[in-house]
Order: sequence, then C-alpha cells, then structure tokens
Amino acid sequence: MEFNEDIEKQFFEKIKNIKDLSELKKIEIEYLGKKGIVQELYKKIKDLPEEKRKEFGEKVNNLRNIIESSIESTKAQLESSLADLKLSSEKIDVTLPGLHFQRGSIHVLTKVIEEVKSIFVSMGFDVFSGPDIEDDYYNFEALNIPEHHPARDMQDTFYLAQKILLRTQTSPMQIRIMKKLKPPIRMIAIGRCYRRDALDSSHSPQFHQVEGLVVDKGISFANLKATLSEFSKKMFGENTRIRFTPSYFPFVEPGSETSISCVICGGKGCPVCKYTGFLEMGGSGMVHPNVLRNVGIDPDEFQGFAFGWGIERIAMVKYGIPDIRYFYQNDLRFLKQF
Amino acid sequence: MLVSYRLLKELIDFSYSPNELATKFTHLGLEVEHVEHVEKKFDKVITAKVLDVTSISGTKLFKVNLLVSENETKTVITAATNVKKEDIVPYAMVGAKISDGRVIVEKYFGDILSQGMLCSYNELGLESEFLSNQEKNGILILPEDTPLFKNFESVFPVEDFYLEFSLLPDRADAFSVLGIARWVEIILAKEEGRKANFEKLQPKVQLEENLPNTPFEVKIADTDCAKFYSGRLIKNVKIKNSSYNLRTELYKLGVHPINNIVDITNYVLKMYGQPLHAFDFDKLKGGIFVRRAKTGETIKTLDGVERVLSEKNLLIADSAGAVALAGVMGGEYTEVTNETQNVFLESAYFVPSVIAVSSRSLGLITDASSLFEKGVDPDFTPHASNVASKMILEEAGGILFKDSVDDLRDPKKGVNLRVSKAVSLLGDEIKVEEIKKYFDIEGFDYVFDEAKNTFTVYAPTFRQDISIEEDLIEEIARIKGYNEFKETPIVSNLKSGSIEKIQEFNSFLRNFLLAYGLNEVITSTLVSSAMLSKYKLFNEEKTVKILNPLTEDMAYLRPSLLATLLEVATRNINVNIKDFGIFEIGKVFYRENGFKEKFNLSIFLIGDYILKNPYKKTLPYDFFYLKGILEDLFDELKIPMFFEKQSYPYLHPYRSAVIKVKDELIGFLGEMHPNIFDKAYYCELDIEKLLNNSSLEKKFTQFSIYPSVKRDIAILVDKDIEEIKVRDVIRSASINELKNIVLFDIYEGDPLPKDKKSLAYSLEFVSNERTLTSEEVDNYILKIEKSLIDKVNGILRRQ
Ligand SMILES: [Zn+2]
Repeated sequence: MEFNEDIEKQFFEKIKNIKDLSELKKIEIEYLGKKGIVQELYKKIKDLPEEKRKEFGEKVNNLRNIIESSIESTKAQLESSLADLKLSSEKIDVTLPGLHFQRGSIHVLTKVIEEVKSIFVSMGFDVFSGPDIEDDYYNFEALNIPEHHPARDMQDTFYLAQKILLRTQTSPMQIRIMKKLKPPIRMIAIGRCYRRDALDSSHSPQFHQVEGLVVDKGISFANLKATLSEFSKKMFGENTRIRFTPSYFPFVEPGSETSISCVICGGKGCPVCKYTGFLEMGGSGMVHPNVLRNVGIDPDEFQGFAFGWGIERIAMVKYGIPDIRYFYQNDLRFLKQF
Repeated sequence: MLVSYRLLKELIDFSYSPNELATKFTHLGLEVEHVEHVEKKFDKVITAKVLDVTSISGTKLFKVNLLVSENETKTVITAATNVKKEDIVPYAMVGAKISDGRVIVEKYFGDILSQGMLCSYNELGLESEFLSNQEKNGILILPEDTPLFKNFESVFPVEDFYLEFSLLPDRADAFSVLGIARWVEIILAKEEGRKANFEKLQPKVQLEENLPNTPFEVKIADTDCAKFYSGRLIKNVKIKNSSYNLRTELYKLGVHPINNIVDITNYVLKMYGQPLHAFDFDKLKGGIFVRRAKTGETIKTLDGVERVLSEKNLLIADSAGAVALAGVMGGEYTEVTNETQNVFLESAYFVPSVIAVSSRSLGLITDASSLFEKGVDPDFTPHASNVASKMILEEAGGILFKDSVDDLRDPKKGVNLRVSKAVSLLGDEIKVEEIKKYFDIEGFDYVFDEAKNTFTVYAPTFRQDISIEEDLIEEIARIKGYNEFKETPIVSNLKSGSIEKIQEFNSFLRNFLLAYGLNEVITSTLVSSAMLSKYKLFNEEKTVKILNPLTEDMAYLRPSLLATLLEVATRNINVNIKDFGIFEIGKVFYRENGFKEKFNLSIFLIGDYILKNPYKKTLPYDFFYLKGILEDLFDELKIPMFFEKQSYPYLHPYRSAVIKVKDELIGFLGEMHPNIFDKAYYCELDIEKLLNNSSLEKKFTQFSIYPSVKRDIAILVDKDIEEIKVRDVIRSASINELKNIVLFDIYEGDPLPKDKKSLAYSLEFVSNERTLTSEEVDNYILKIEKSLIDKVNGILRRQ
C-alpha cells in the first residue's frame, strides 16, 4: 500500500458523520488497531529503501498523531452531547408551583405589642404586665378615684367579689411598680383590661392597653410630649404629628387626651377621622400629687408623667382594621394577613 | 349633654359657626362629639284654634272646625282623639308639605271636604324626646297662649344646631347652658385679650324687699353634709301647664313639660345647673332638717319605690320624718300635684361626696344627683331660689315669702401657685405676665407675691375643679394651648430597658411554635357556663364567676384555653378552612384560696400540614406530630419529662396522655374525643411550670471528631409492651458510645406470632477517642441483646 494524502482525507470524511461512540470505536480500530491502516503503513517501512525510511516514518507518525487527537476530540464531543441528552430527559417545568408546608403567623395584637415594647425598650423603659384580677385599691383607690367617685362611671367595672375586680385599665401597674421600685422609674405595662361595655365595632368588654410611667426629678409635660411624639413617629411613621387636648383622668393633673394626625388623610380630614384630621389614642398627663403621696413619693421632690393607650386602637389605626371584633374572632383569613 | 346653639346665641353674643365653636370647645377640653343640625322639614304650617269637634257617625273620624285667621275657618277631618275645643294646633293648609315629603291636598270624606291636616310632632319632624307623652301620642297641642295664625317655625324654635358634649366629671361648671356660655365668654376673652366677665351672663332678678318670712325653720343638722339650705314658701299657686314662653324655652333645653312648677325647677337645673326641689308645703310638718338617715329608715320616693336607707343617705326631713332624699329625689307624699296650693321651694348646696355616696348606695342616679355629686356653684344657690320664685309668680301666681336660710358656706379660699413649680411641671419657660393673662381670661382673681414668686388665686365658685397647685397649672396649659408647649426628650442617666421574664418566655414560645407552622390566636377570657359545661370544664367551686356580668355568655373567667380555642376552630371550619394548627398563650383563672391566674399554652391541630400537591403525599396532623412538637420544645428547654396514659372527658379515651416532670403535672395532650372533633389534636401546658423547670442557657459541647457507626436492629417483643420500656432497656445497657436511638419501624402481623410485635431501631455509636471497629460494635449489640432478653423478653431478629 502506498502512503498517500488520501488516507487522511478518507479518515476525515468518515469521522465527520460519526453519531455515536461505537461507530467511533470501529474507526479507531480501523485506523489505529493492531491490524489497522496505520500499523500497515509502519510495516511498509522495512520494504522501503534506506534513505526514504526516515521521511516515510515521520509522515506515518504525523498521520497517527492527527488521527489520535481527532478521535480523542470527537469522543469528547460525543460524550458531552450524550450527557446533555441524558440531562435533557430530566427536564422539569420550572413554572410549576412550589411545595408548601403550612406557614404560621403571629397574632396582630402580639405583633403590635412586640413593636410597642421594642420602641419603649429602646428608650430605656422596663416592661411589665401585671394581673388581670385586681384589687379595688390598685385599680381605683390609690389612683385618686375613691369609692363612689363619679369618675368610676367612666369605667364600668366587672366585679368578682367585694373590692376585687377585673382591671379596667393598666394604670394599677403604676401603683404596683411605684410601690416596688424607687425613682427613677421608667416603665410600660401591657396587658388585658376589662370594661362592662357592650361589644360593637369599636368597643369590646376586653381589650389591651399599654401604660407608661416615668417618675424622676424634674420630669415635665414637655418630656411627656416628646416621649409620645417619638413613640408615634416610630409606630406610625416619621410624618405623624401628635395632638394634646385637655381632659380629665383623676390620677393625672394636668390631664390630656392624646391624638395622632390621621394616618389616612394626614390631617386634612376624612371619614376615618370623622373630618377632624386626628385619631384619639388615649389619655396622658402628669402624675397627680395624691397618687405620688399614696405610694410614699414626695411630689415636691419627684414629678412624673403617665399615659395609657389602647393596643387594639393602635393596631386598627396602623393596619386599617375597621372592626375591633376581628381581633377576637381569629378567622385565619384575618390572622394570616399580618 | 345636648346644648342648643340658638339658646347659646341668645345668652351671649358671638359669631362662630356651630362647627367652629365645637372645635374651640374641644381644644379647651370640653369635647364636642357631634354637631346635629335640626332642619325644618315642613312648609305652610300655621297655628290655628279649634272651634269645635264633632264625631262623624258610623266612623272613627272627627270633623274639626278651625279658625285659621282672624276671619277664616277651615274644616279638617282627623282620626286623632286628643283634640278639643279651644286647643291651639299646628295646621297644615292645602298645599303644605310635611316632614315625610307628603303634600296636603283637599280630600272628601263622605260628603265632607277636608281642607288640610292637623299635625303631630312626627309629621313636623320634631325630636320626640323634647315632647310630653300626651303630645307624642296625637296631635301636637300647643300652649293656650301660643300666638295664633303664625307660621309654625316662627313660634316654635324648630330650626337649630345641637352641640353634643361629652363632658368629664371634673367639668362640674359646664353641665348647664350657663356653664357652656361661660366657656364661650372665655373663648371671647382670650381672643380679645381681656378678663372674662361672667356677671353679664347671670340672670338678673330682684325680688321685692320686705317679703313676709317663711314661717318654717330650716336647719342643717349634719353640718358636714350640706353647706347651704334655703326654703321658701309660695302661697296660693295655680298648678297648670306652662305658658307658651316657658314651653319654648323648655323645648330648646330638651325638657319634657309636666306642669309649671316642675317645669320651672327643671328649667333652672338645665339652664343654670342648680337642682331645686318643690314640696307641697301643706304636707310638711314643723320645719326642715338636713340630716343623715338612720339605718333602716324608709322613704317612698316619687318614682313610687319604697327605699330602705342607711347612714350613707342624706335626708330632707320634717318633724315627722323623711320627706326627700337630699340631692337625689323627692318623696312621693310631699310631691307637688295638681291639687297643691302652697309650694315650699328648696335650693341647697350639698357636699358632693355625700351625694355621690348616697345616690350610688341606692343605685339611683338622677339629673340632680349627678350635678350635686360633681359640685354646683354655691354662690349661685341662693340666687337660684330668687330666679325660680320670680318665674313661679309669672307662671303660677301666688304670694311670695322670704326664704328661711341656713348658711354654712366657707369663705372663698385661695390656691397658691409657685411659678417655679409651673415651669418645672410644664417643662417650658413661662413668664409671670403670661400667667396673669391666662388667669384673667378665665376670670380668676389673684394676688401675686413678687418676693415669693407665688400667686394666690381665687377662682370663681363654680370652678370646683380648682383646689390644688396642679389644677392651676392645668389652667395655664389649657388657655395657652397644650400644643403650644415644647417637646423635650427625657434627660436622665442612660439605662437600657428590660422585659420581665414571663413576657420574654412567652415570646420564645410563640416564635418556637411559629416555626412549626402554627398560627397564634387570642381569644376571650370571658366565657359562659354553658360553654364550659359542654366540655366538662365547669366546676362550681373553682371557676371564677363575675358578679355583674354584661351577658350570660361572658359570665365566667375561663379555667382552660380549650373551649375558646375550639370555638375558633369551629368558626374557621365553618368557613371551609379545614387544615390548620393554632395555638394560644393566654391566662386562665381559678379559685384556690382566693382568685388565681396563670398563663397556659394550648395547641390545636386539624387536617393536613402538607396539603394536596402534585409532588408528595398529603400529610395529616396526628397525635405523634403534636407529641413531636412537644418533645422538641421540652428538649429545647432542657426539661426531662415523660408521658403517661391518662384520660380526659374531652379527649379520646385511648389516645391521650398526661405530661409530667418528675412528679409534677405540667400538661396533657391527646386526640380530641370523636364526639367533639374528628381527627383533631389538642394539648395544654402550664407555662409557669414550664418556665420554672426550663433552662434556655446555651453552652458549647465538644462532639467527636471520629465518624459514627450506625447499626439497625429489629426486636421481637410482646405486643402490649410500651415502646418506651424497650428504649429504656437499650439505654440501660449503659454503653457510653451509644449516642442515638431512633425507632424507625413498628411491625405486627404475618409472619410474626399474633401476640408479638417487631420494633426496628437505628443505633448510632461514636467514640470520642477513636474510630470504632466493627467488632467493638458487634459486642455492644450483644450487650444490648442480653439486656433485652433479661428485661423485656425481647428477641433480636437476625436475617
Ligand atoms: Zn383622616
């Protein structure tokens, strides 16, 4: 057999159309096998004249290298396209829905309570809760509301026994804490309160309150304003303004009703704020000297402020919840929104 | 309290619209909740006089001839039965419009032409509460001196605005039209920068001098209970309906007319804030004494109730006994009736707390008591008698006597205000001149002591809310405006806030359960006995009862979280939400040497926790899912606990357990009784016990650097043996290298003997010193096998 360029040409012609590894193997054997074309060429070397042997040998070596590397690369190509073929058979529809476990939720009132706590803790307030079942002394008497005081009409009370009642406000915690701790005091108390109010869209016989109390030397109305203003901005947004109007709670003097600028209309007036531009949040004021005296604090040495806001009210305003009854119904379609 | 805008304008000149006025009041602390506009809803209705009324035979109708102008009569057919000759009535002429929009037309009844209509209050669109019962039930009969042939709206104050005040108890001075007018004067004084002048608002009455003395002694016997008492005789009065003029005023005040004497006392109460009482003089004997009641003394009050009194009650008594509950309600026997000829008029100042106690001890709160208990104006009390007397003379005639008086009023006391205290409490600079200005605006008299930098303030007597320094500071803030003060953050030693332990722990529990896909609920602590009984949770001795519940379904405090949680479950299932896990962290209450409360945790599971999907099987909640949560929780809290079979009335009797820590019960869990819920799971834990036994402290523990060896074993044991015993036996082999025992299969049935079951465990061994060899592990298994044979008659199954 003569060595000629056609061998290489033929090889490339054959390998060009190779589809799978077994065909490639056949070609490999045909060219590089023990009885293959390349070996046959080597065998011819000995039949050649001395002076041509070297040149011919180099040509065959060259051819072998070309064929080897070509088979190698074709093999790699075939393998990779085969692998791809296998993976493509495992194709999924990525638009199918994910697999879901039931996801939990925290009650919106708890969320609001946690947020209130974290804002006040960041301002250095200690957090308490206190008992639902209270003594008349803490709930009324010590708060400057003696028996038969007309102010008791403002809070219709559930009684469990003579002088034992369900707290109508978190304010008894003012007394409990002042009896326990010495000024400086900076605390909030959060918990459930009860009043004999019929259930409707804005009243509930049970509700939650956050009570605040700060007692120290020189605590002022200006401090009260700054504290509630800061709290309101953190709770309802930086643009929230706070409004104080004179009001009456027997355990503070001066006493104030506190409102925030309407979160819906920003103070321009809308149905939610009954066109007043403001939403009432709760009471506040300077701790009445009688209250301080009742717990053995000298009102000439220490002053304090206190406030009591409704948690449900905060939640309703913050999340636009129109009816207080939702909180206690616990419809999952409600719970899962927050 | 409703106040007529029209009436206010009659009393004081101002130019604010009703809404402007409402805003100003609210900013002063007199909250106006609502402004109601009462509009005229009729047209072409005039006052006419009834000439005669004849019944039309065979019908229930009446033919009424009316004089509708000086020389014109009309005939009207009516079904009303309360119209009689000489009555003055509102007559809607033909073409008139009435409140429901109807237009009156001529109409034949048989052969009689009806030329218009007589109107009831309803047809005129008037507020019914301002009218007497008689008027409500039929045609509105106007007072006999009502001007005739006038447009109805010109003789009756139909069109008006009513300001609805929501006043707090410290605003004693404002519970009358005069009181509200005084605050209008303060608004004006502030605007005009002058001192308020309340004098001009006072009714001016000058009685004749040299009146005969009332021949009756009055005496305040218990001097700590009343400070002023005036009693006056008015002889030969004529009790009748009030005149047109008075009726018009009563209408604006929202007062039901009764008779002239009662109407006058009511007028003075509503207009000036002084409750008065009129007695039938001829039924009084020997003199008037203001004294505390004796225990057991009785009086029949004019509401017809016989009341048994105590020393908490203050009485007006004559020499024969109680004639009125002082400041609360008169007695029936001495009440003014149509036969009364001689009236004894009382005007008094009772000590507020005495009336508060007296009225509340009887549960009897009246218009009078609610004014007295807040504090009326003691300076006006004597004058109120004059005002009423003059009106009685006008309305009822009679002979006036000079009042008998017992006057124990204290001289006006000044209240001191240190300027430094005002500055300190308000936290803002405030000048002496400024304070003077504010006190002037409120009409306070004062003396300023320059050296002491202190005011002594004499507030008007109607300002019973001013008794201490802080009250004056509130007035400074009120007039300056609460929102005019600066905001100053608290300056103090820096300290961080802390949260009490139980709240921190509850937050931990919440977040823990949230990770299991559970939803937190918050339910009512107030429940009904029926609801508790349904789940056999009611216990007469231990359940806390509310003495004065609002409704029966909120009459008890819950002893468990079960009932309300099931209610939430039912509510959701009813709206077709059927797969969920919910939990509550809330208080429960019980009686045990007094009233007790504690926090519990409850969990309720129902349906699937992996819902229908195209990839996996759905997975339902079950007993062991719930138990798994609890085991994880106790593990996290490092509480060693165990479960013991135990039945509860509301749980499946064979699928429930108690959870114990040492010997202490800490909670329970189980499948709900199928009678209550099918395939639902519940548990309830005592949070305080959980907290007390727990440790949330975390510390690093060294783990082995060598790989572990796992071996699966299957053990054949008696079917009835509790699995925990088998696990305990494996543990009891005390192999330090055994780090983990996982049960992964339970098998009963062929080819096993009927009374046997097979338990398959995966055991994990690891040593801290070296990699364990297969021989070592084989030896451990042999050791375990021996324990199993000895203790539970177990057989290791080898394949
Ligand atoms: Zn708004």
